[in-house]
Amino acid sequence: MKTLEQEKSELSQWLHTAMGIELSTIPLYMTALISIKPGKNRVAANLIRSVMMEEMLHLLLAGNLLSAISGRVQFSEQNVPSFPLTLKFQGKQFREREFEANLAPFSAASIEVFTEIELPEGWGQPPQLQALQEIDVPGYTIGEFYDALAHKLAALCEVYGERAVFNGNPQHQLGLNYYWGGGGKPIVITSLALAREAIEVIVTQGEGTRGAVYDDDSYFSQPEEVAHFFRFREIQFARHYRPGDDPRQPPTGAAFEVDYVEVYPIKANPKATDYLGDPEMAALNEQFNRLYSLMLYQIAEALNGASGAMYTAILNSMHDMTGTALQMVATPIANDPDGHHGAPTFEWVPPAL
Amino acid sequence: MYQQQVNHPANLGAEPLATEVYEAMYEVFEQISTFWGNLPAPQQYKSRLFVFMDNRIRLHPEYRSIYTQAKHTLDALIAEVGKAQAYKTLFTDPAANQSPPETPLALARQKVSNEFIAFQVSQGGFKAFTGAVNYLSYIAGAFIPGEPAPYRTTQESPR
Amino acid sequence: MNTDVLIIGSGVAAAALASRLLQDDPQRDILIIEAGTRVKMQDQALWDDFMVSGNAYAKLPYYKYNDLAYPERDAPGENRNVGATVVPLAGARVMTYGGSTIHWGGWSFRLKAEDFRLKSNTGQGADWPLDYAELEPYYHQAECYIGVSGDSSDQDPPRSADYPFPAFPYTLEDQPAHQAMTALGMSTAHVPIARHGSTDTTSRHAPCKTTGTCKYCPFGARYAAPNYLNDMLDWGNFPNLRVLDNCVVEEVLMASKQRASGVACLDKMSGQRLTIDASTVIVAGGAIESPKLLLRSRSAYWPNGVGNDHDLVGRYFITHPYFIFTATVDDNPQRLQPEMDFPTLCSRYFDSPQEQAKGKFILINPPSTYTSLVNGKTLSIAQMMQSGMLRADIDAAVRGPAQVQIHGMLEIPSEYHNRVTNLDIRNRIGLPETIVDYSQSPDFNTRIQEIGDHIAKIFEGMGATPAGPPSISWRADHSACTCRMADNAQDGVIDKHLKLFGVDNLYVCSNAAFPNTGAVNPTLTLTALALRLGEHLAAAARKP
Repeated sequence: MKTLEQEKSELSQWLHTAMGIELSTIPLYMTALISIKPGKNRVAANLIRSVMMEEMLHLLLAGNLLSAISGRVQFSEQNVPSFPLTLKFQGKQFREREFEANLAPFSAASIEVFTEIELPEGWGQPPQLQALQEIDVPGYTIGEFYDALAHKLAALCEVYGERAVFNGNPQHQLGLNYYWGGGGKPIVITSLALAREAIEVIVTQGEGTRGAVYDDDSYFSQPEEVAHFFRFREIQFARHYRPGDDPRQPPTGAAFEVDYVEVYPIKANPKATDYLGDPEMAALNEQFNRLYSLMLYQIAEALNGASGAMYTAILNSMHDMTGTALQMVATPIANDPDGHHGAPTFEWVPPAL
Repeated sequence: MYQQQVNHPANLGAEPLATEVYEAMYEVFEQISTFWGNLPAPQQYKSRLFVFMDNRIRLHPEYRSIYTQAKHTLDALIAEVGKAQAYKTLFTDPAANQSPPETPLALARQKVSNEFIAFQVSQGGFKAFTGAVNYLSYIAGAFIPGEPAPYRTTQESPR
Repeated sequence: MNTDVLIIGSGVAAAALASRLLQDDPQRDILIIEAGTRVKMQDQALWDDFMVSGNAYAKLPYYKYNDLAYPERDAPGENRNVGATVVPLAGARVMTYGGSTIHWGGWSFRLKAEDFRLKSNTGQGADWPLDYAELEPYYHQAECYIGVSGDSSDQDPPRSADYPFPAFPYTLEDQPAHQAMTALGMSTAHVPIARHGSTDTTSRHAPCKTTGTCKYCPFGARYAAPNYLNDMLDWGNFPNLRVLDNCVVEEVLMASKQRASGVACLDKMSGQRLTIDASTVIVAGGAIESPKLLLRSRSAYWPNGVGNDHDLVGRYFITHPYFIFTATVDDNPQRLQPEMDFPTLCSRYFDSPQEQAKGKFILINPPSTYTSLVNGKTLSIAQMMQSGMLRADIDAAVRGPAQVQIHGMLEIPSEYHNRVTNLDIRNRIGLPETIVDYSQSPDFNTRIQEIGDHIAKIFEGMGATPAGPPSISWRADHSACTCRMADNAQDGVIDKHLKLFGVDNLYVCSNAAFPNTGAVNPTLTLTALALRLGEHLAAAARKP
């Protein structure tokens, strides 16, 4: 019979995995977004950006969940995602993510991968993009993972009571002041009901509710927003959904232009070592990675009680990461035989502390 | 349009600040909080202080030298009079506060200590003195109807 | 180079107008020309530089795009002041991409109904060729565009719809002035302020987090046209919207007397002279540069400058004199301190029809009120620590003497002889310098005296002792009326749709268009006019 502390320690791993799931989407979406040439594909760019912003909310909510049970949020070389990305939990790949996701330019192929990342529960069989290693017992789907997480929390509350389970310091969570520019709001989690609400936001913003096109997030009045999966479908069909559309059918709303040609030829899954022959690109990449790592470090600090560090993470890191990345993608890598342009590598650089 | 991060051209190819200089400057920050007793748990501001220092260098490369020099100045002063008196001198010596700085101590006072004070107060150091909730340069947060305002309000104000 | 719509100037008028046109037709061909250059917004290193200086204006990254002071013996300076009253241009405006909303305070007042009838009511100044009711819906649109937090229950002047964001509550520092004003029977009100608030609507514009460094807001929560232009260019789906910065428009070119063909300009970066053809030209360069551009656009068709056959361009120049009354309190038991960087409390009690003949005025309780005095010098907490004061001294000082202030602005009716013209010397931005010729009217000092009497009563109610005469600044921040609207060409330069009399396709969208500017900041009214012009031009474009 495990103690509450042992149970929480196990749950900690679940919640760190949840943070990893959410965090890993951000470099993927950001790379596709910044590869689009300025002024082009604006509708698609806005759609990707809006999804990316909501993933940041999911990351924040997952962090709040961990703090809510007195867990300790930490980012380090060990748990910062690396690319190509293979998501695993308890040694197994997630069932519908049995593929590698790549840092890659905006293309039909990458949008297809994004739809698979956000695939709603029970939508259909995902294509096998990579042969599976032998797996005796299949891994979770993302939906099953979050469901199991919610059930575990509920079960613990039954045995130990809500107060003992959600005994984390609320000052170690991030509230309404620390998120803006995207759909939804942060939730400070002090009860099972609020924990369920947070998980519900993550799942429904991403996948929608049982294939419904519009997420039933009551925060929105207008414009109504579709779940991430369907936003990527809009890009695939170059057409918006409108109320009443059948989710299994293509959208029937206003058309918009999608041009996969107006994209910089950035190198896929770049590593810092790819820029050894280009000191200027290497310096830009180093600058990006420093800001990225510092941002994650300060998000963790904020979720451990230093809330103000979150402002620094946003104001100092996020804004300038974009500027640096935009310069990289517009520039060919010196001596690259394929004429690739640079792109940030999202690698961990230990902050000077 | 996204403009590039401001970075003085003299910073290109320059060496990063030495770890011991960062740590010495953190000690100045800690000592400020101790001397005035106005900011508990200064450790939580360390990463933000280092961002502040890096930003000073990014805009004004001479801060690389200023911070390094300040460490030497303080090391010497501490060796001479001990830590408590050294920091007291740094924080209160009137000659050191005459602008423009013409001595190493004046440089440390005006370009390091005084700037760290501004930073410290903007991180919340003002609260201990006045009971105020907000201060110019402190991010108290948004006004969210239904939540307490991010500043002291008049009782007469209808909500 | 050619375009459909050419907008000269890139400030709030240009941004609002462009946004309205593109709302109607996202494909519309719009070129915005700006003489100045771009400033990096929301940079943390620049913010730190500003913050450590104690919010010193000279540390702002756009300080260098202000006018210099007038020439003095040992300082060459810029511009000329030739009237009896010194009207400083230095600090009044910022010649940069996005214009002066880069530095404005965001006070977003509407004019009142009586302001539109100044001449009919008082015999002074001029009437607007439209009334408040006609502009009211555009005021609401302007409040939504800019993002104004205000008190929707305040019906003075009347409003048909709510502010997009609720008003900021009065601060504790407002309380003494609020009580004193109320006891004297003066009405009080929330300052409508251009700061985004928290709502359920998703927006790329961050809500105000009361940081208190408004002139360089790290969040972009205070409306600044450069941020909105960047947003339109980066994220808007407007393939034919262009901004050409570092390009000085020398003159408007005419194809005939009643048709502008475009502009001649100088591209500062290449040194090349360009001619840009346009179907519609809108002069949105502010109340100083707009008339100067028209004045130097001379041709056989318009020998005195386009639109200037009746010698009205550049005339009727006014600004708001800004007064600061200072007082001291001996002690401060509540330890009141400046907590915000924008005002929350004002009184429009004297901004009323009864005061119109003598000059309406508005009173502002400044956010800097209740700054502690140490040996007669105002010091912030940081400054106290920096000066070496010990903990016990600081604890005593914040309970001790403090400086309080009341600020305000006075309405000035415009007069023909006050004007701005070109000086044939180029400033650092490449624009011709300015000759300002303004002389205040003889009754001004009497009026200030009367205002002082009212303020003295408020200070008395606050338990504060007045500290000397007020400071009065005629700085040209709210310059206006220099290309004013009228019903006919004898009385004004443009008609009620901002179109130049006698020219089919040339407009002035600027504070220059105002026949008068009441007692309040002009920007909200300007934005309303810009949105109204946008709707007007969009409707015209839709006609077959």
